[in-house]
Amino acid sequence: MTTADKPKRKNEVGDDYEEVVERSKGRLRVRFASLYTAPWWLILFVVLWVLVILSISADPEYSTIFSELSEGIGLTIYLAVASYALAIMIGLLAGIVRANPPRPPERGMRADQVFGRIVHAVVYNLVTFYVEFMRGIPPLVFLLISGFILVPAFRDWYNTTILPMLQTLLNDPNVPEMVWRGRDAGTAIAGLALVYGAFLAEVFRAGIQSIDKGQIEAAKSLGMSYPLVLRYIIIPQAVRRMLPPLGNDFISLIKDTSLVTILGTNEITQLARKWSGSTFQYVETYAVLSLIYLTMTVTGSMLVQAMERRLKQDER
Amino acid sequence: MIRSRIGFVAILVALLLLPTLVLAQDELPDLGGQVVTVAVENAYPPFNFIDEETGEPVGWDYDAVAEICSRLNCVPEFIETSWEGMIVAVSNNEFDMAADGITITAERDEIVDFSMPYVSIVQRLMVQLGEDRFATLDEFVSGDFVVGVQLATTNFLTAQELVGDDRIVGFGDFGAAVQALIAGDVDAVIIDDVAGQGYTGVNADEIELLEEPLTEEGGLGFIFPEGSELRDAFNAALESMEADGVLEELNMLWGLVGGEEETE
Repeated sequence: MTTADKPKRKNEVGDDYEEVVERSKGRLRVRFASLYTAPWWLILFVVLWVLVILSISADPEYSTIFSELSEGIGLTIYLAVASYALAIMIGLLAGIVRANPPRPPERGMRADQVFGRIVHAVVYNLVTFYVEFMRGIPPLVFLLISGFILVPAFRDWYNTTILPMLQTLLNDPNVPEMVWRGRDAGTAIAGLALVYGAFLAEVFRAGIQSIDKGQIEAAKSLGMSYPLVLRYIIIPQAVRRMLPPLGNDFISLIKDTSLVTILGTNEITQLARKWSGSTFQYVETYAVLSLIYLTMTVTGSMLVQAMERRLKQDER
Repeated sequence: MIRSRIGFVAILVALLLLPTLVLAQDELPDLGGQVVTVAVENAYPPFNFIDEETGEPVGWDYDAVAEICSRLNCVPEFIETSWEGMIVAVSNNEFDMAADGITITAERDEIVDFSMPYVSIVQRLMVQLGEDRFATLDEFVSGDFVVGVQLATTNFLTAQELVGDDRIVGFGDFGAAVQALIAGDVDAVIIDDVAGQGYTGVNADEIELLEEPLTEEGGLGFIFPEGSELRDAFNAALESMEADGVLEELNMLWGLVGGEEETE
């Protein structure tokens, strides 16, 4: 909307007739404009949501199911937020490495510089291996592997190999055994963070590489180191471009916390399966379950949109 | 005179009994080659599971339903589905029946029809071989041990009664629960003795069943949609199999020896 569309002032006695008509047309345009731009989907969603909530609270069967499932909401949100925070860290580090492919050493380089290039190449290949490996495994399969194989193996290895070493090292036989079970929230968080970290790494890589090379070279020619360039030149600009895919992955992650049910972790999907399995109220239980997920994902999507708007304001 | 009268009565009785004798031989209904869809899980030894060597699904359910169908003139078609939705799917007529070592309970009977019980079971605790932290049910319940079960089973309900929701880890199938037990993630698994023997048979060096039964004896049956005509036919076939000993042979073959009698 440009300022020309806006009526500048109220009509007054003695105004030119055509000017008044023009002004009222402008007002109409403004009034109707919001009809086109209003987020109707959200209004529809909120209305439906309120209706469903009202009917749930009126129905004793549905309210029982809701109170039964709501015990797991905290855990589901915790799983989503914690694994996303971890995935962001993994993704950022892996993305920075992936955005800078290795280069062969140049003529006349010092030995330590050549060594640096070699380390760079090794790290780059390891990170790429991780990204390709994790992107290729379905999250459900990786959770199964983590819960039933990796975590028990890691725990047993720690308790039989590392723990005695620690105990002799610290000269304290009371160093406790590690109690990390496959069904613990830690397994889910580690598993989901590793899978999503690989996805986010590609988002970060694309974001970093989307910044014009000239800017980076200019900053470097001013004597800025790569971390400084990253912090002050690349990230502030790249964040705006990365926010939509980052938000997308967050919502996807909220939904994928439901996969954790396979390990017996008591998040809402697991509670729903327990409840429906014993009561045969499948329709009711999964309706309530969907409602809870939708409430979380749409709220998440609104948050992401609000952040995008704020970043756009900063841009001006 | 008296003799001939006795003879007459004997002939009369024989004549009266003859039709029932013929009927007894031929009383099984004829389903006329009807295809019967049977829901199975293929994850619940010894009832239905995948044979490690051949990769083919096998088990008591396959043999028993095949035997029943050969007596009733029907063609079984086994369809794999998950346990969680099985009872409701049968109740919604998505399958003609389900065979999965299903314990007969009043709640389930409200939405499906059960056949007569074909074997009786008790539930037991499955533990790691040489478990020394607890030896009895009381010790298990009073400790803070965690139990793994398959969701939507009578074992899950037993676990709820014994230790409460907070100490239960529910899995989609018993294979996962047993795996969690072997991995040390749960301290015990509550399972029907018959199925438990299926798992301990395969993993004899890692797990065992405690002797002490957790529940009263219960019966296992097939389920049918409510009002299904198949139920009576299957009951008749099961009765005839019980009568001629084929049922017991099958039960022995697949190790379906459950209930208290097994503990002696």
